[in-house]
Amino acid sequence: MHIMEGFLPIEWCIFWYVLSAPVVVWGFLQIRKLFAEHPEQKMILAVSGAFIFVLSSLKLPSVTGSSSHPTGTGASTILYGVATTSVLSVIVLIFQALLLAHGGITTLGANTFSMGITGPFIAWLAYKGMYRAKLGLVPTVFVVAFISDIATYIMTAFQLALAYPTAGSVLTSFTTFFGIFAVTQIPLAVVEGVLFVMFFDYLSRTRPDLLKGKLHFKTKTSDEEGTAVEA
Amino acid sequence: MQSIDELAYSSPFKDWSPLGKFTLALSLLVSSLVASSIVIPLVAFCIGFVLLFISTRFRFPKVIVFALLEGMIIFLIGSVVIALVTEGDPLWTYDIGPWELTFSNQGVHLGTMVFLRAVAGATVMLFFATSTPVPQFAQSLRQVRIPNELVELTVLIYRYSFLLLEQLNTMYIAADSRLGFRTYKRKYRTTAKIAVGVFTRSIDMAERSQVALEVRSFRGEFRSYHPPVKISTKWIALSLIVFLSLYTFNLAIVDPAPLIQLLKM
Repeated sequence: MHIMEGFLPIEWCIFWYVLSAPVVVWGFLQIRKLFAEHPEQKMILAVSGAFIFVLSSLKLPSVTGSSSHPTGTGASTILYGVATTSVLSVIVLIFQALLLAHGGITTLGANTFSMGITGPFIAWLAYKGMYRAKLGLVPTVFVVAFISDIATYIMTAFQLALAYPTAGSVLTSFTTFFGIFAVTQIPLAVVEGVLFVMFFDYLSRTRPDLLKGKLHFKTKTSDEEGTAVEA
Repeated sequence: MQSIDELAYSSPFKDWSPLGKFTLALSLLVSSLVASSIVIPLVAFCIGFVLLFISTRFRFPKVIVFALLEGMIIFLIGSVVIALVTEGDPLWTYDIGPWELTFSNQGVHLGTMVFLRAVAGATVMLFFATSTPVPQFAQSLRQVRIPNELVELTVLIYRYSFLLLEQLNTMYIAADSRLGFRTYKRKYRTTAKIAVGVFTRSIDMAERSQVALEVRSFRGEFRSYHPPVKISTKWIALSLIVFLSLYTFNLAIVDPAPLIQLLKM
């Protein structure tokens, strides 16, 4: 769920734009460097961005009876890192605002900060910690996808609480907003975690080359049939 | 998504300057956000609605109705929560089991304001979306010095999205015809398989596209044969006039005294 057009007062719209801008610019500089050194990466990155956008159109059943969709930023963080994810998120959020009437242009800064920066950054910290601890693919991917989702919604609730505090108290307002989000978002984060575990599990079997050096998983090669190999 | 794209390509406003339309839409959105009277979002909604109606050639496609209705449900829930968290003079109180929900005068006013702003915003954005193809808008961003890499990435993501959506639909129908969505467990497993299928195919597609471009002497930059119309001073003036008119109108409604004094001087 993104903050919709018209939901944030103008001063908060500007504030979140200003706060998001440096990270997005940094992400853009990373992408520019990547394109200069490896021009062939342009297509792969574009297709990955399209993949995130298409993934967000995959409806998932939610326990509350409604349907929701994965954000895809957890997977993108593992594959491309925080900076690149922030730029891809901006583009995907613009498409969502224009083509799906989901989110908005005045709230783009706030949505970028929650979905493209906070979620991926916290997920990246968890990912680095778990990768160094040499934890396997299943726990790492589940935690990263779950945390990225939850961190996004915590930040969204915080952004709304800052804009609409209850009798001056941001904390009280935050509890109300997050309490309401939690009904659908905690089950959704679990579902996204499970979905991405399945996704990376299939990916590790079909295209292990794409995950080399990014996750610890066991794979079977044709010449070492039956032997587990650490990739 | 495809329907909005089709509408954008057949809109009578398609050949207008994309940045001009964007500036006009932005002036309506900002006017609605800075206003303290609920009349201004209503005016912005009316302008947006008329433009949207003309942009869709006087018919209201299902996709627009669904987008607005879906949006309204989200706006309503959000506005009710904002009304609940805003303190003030109690207006209504409801007992729901262990909780007591109190709506204040100020809360109801703020909730209504946010709801109207959101409806106006959605209508104005739908006007922009149904009258401006995304590639045109992305190409026009070069005029405001947005770097080429970003513009090209946007256009490429847009183009590939449609190709991937086509593949996604094919896989979805194939899985559905094999009862792949029959139970909850199967539903998740099939969704994950489809996601991997789309991802691996997209990587293959990217690699093949790169080879295809290289054999056509691709130099790392896409050029448009028909660049979009540039933004003119007329568009900037129109957007400013709209903003200032709505701003003044808001002042006249909320507190007309300073405005009357200014006019007397």
